[in-house]
Amino acid sequence: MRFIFTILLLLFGSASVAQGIRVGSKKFTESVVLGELARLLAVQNGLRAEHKKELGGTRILWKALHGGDIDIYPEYTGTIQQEILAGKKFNNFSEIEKYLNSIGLSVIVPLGFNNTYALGMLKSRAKEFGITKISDLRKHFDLVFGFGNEFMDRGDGWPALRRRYRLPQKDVRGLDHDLAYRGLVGGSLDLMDLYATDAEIEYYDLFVIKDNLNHFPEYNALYVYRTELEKEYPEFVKSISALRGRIPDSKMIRMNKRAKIDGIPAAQIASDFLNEEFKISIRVKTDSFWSRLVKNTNDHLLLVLISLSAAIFISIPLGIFSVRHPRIGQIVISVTGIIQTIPSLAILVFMIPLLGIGAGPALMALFLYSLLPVVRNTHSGIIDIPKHLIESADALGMTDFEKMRYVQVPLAARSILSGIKTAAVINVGIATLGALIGAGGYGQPILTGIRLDDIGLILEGAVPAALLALLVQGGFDLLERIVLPRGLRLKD
Amino acid sequence: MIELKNVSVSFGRKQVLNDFNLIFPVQKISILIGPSGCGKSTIVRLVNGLLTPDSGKVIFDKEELSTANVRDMRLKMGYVIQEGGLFPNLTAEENITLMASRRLKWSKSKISLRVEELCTLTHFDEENLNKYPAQLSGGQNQRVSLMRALMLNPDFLLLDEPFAALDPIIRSGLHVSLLEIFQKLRKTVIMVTHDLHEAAYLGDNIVLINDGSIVQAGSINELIDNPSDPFVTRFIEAQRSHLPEAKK
Ligand SMILES: Nc1ncnc2c1ncn2[C@@H]1O[C@H](COP(=O)(O)OP(=O)(O)O)[C@@H](O)[C@H]1O
Ligand SMILES: [Mg+2]
Repeated sequence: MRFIFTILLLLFGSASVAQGIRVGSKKFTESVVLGELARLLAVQNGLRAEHKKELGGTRILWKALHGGDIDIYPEYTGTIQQEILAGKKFNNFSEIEKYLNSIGLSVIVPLGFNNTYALGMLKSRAKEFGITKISDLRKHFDLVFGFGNEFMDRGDGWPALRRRYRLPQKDVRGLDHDLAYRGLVGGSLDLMDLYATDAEIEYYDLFVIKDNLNHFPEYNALYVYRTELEKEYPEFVKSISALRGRIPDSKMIRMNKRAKIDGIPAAQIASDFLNEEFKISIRVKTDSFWSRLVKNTNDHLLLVLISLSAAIFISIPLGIFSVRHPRIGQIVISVTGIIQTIPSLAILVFMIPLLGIGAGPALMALFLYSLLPVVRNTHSGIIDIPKHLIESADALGMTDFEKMRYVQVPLAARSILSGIKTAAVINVGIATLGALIGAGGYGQPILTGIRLDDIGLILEGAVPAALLALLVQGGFDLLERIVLPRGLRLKD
Repeated sequence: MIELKNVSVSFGRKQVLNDFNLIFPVQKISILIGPSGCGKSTIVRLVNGLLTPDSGKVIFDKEELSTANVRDMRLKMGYVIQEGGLFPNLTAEENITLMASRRLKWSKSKISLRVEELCTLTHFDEENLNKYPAQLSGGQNQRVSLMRALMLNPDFLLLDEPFAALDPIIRSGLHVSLLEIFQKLRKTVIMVTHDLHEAAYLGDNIVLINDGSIVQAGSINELIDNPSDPFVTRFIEAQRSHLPEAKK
């Protein structure tokens, strides 16, 4: 068992080998645009470059950078201070920088703009309640707040803000930042957290509530990279360092607007910026719908097929083992059951220290999720075989192996197969989360679609994922007719 | 000869057999009969090792049944149960020949010769050999089950209420076949039934059991003419036909 686990680790772990510059970005537009800037500069230096975009959160990026799965990604001073190094005490950013250097990281700071947090409301709502500064919120305890998930528990986030301003609101929801805008405009939220450079502030004509107690620290944009990069690719580090101080608020807001409101691809925006600012012209090609679909399908199928095959390979013997050794078997089934109750995103994140980001941890997570249905159905399929059949096999003088081979497994085939089917369908769904840790698949257009409020893109991931689930279901129904012993298909 | 010597069996706190002794003579048809729950199946299951006694021995000729030899001993014992016990994933023929082909690696020709022989013996239509249990009638399935039990030409045949689930006409057809088989093959047979007519028709030696003890053993005539206990008479009377004289 341990041996097999090691093999899986090797197999899955090696899935994310890449050379050249590997850029990461968070799953909001500004980060993706800055990521594209870095990628294009690498390309311009004649390097191979890969952009793992829309990764599922600061922690994932930070671990990936630490683990050497990515080389560079855009970050903010405030985030490093308030979230990443929240437990440590620093007096100023140069102390932080020194600390980062000591752990093998370097920063390019500041890029120019300060994307601090702010609270915002629709102008009309703010006027209606007479709110101009955050202190005013104290009187309006029944307002509905919606905050980005990271804001809910970061050092300067909601708990600290509430303490600082002594805010009474109870109805506070954590949700995706881009979805919060939709909630605000749709009326289900009264107030949300904003990033100062969000293009939506102007677009939706939002009112930015004054932080009258100066609660929010500065969020100066920067790039953080592995210091080794200076040795490996000095020319790249030189190019990207030239961005220092070159992106003021106004330019970033405009780039965000072009992406989110005008729907221009991030690569194009980054290329236009480099052209205007540095007279660097880089052709960007945007993938066609079909090439995207092929790539996503390919990524998604690989995730599902590899993880599922590995799970089948392990689970059927494990199910049989559980029948033979009921005590240990009970433990096996409980453990696989517990794994299943861990939220999928949590499993994905747990895997990052072990396997980095990319397909590896996604495969491992999907593999773990697939265990329970197959183990349990193998076990119950065998246990549920009528006792007189098992005794007949014994009475014929069969060995345990013969009994398994000719009687128990064939008679449990229907149950085992339906366990595999369940695992496969679950897998197709959960694999869409793989994009959050850089594994690609149908989740990628869904993430981009949510980020850009682009229904078309969301459907580009959601529809094939649903179709694939149906296909898998149908495929297994067909398979059942082929592999199920004929004698079992006659009557039920 | 099969001997149960000082055998005790209990399930939890319920003692089913207590210091039980019984000999099944060679090449005789012994019938175990008695009310439901009296321990008949328990005895048969002790003989083929599906059940191990808490104490006491099961002895075949000179050899004591043990975990070491039980698997080999079972190859010398055919076993047929009420439910048939046929594997629904296998055809009639596969059910019959599974052990011969997979374990004993008999040649194809040896197997088909033997199957042909058995079909004749049990009056089973060879056309049906490729059918699955679900495609055959209850009576046909019991014939297949019987063939499976006889396939390896065992010395012992254990039948636990093999016909209890069949309707009377089918059952009487099988009685005729079975008697024919018994007479031809002269095996040591243990057959469980709760039907006195079946016992009388097939059995050499009838063992009447009640509540885990032997009440009387002997021929049907001995049981009728010389009951050792009022229970014997009551058991026999309960199974006499109650059809009115006029309609006989
Ligand atoms: N596996 C078991 N667990 C508990 N009790 C059992 C088991 N098998 C048989 N018994 C009990 O032992 C007694 C004898 O059973 P059995 O030999 O099957 O009777 P029968 O004469 O009807 O074949 C019955 O009371 C039955 O309930
Ligand atoms: Mg019984």
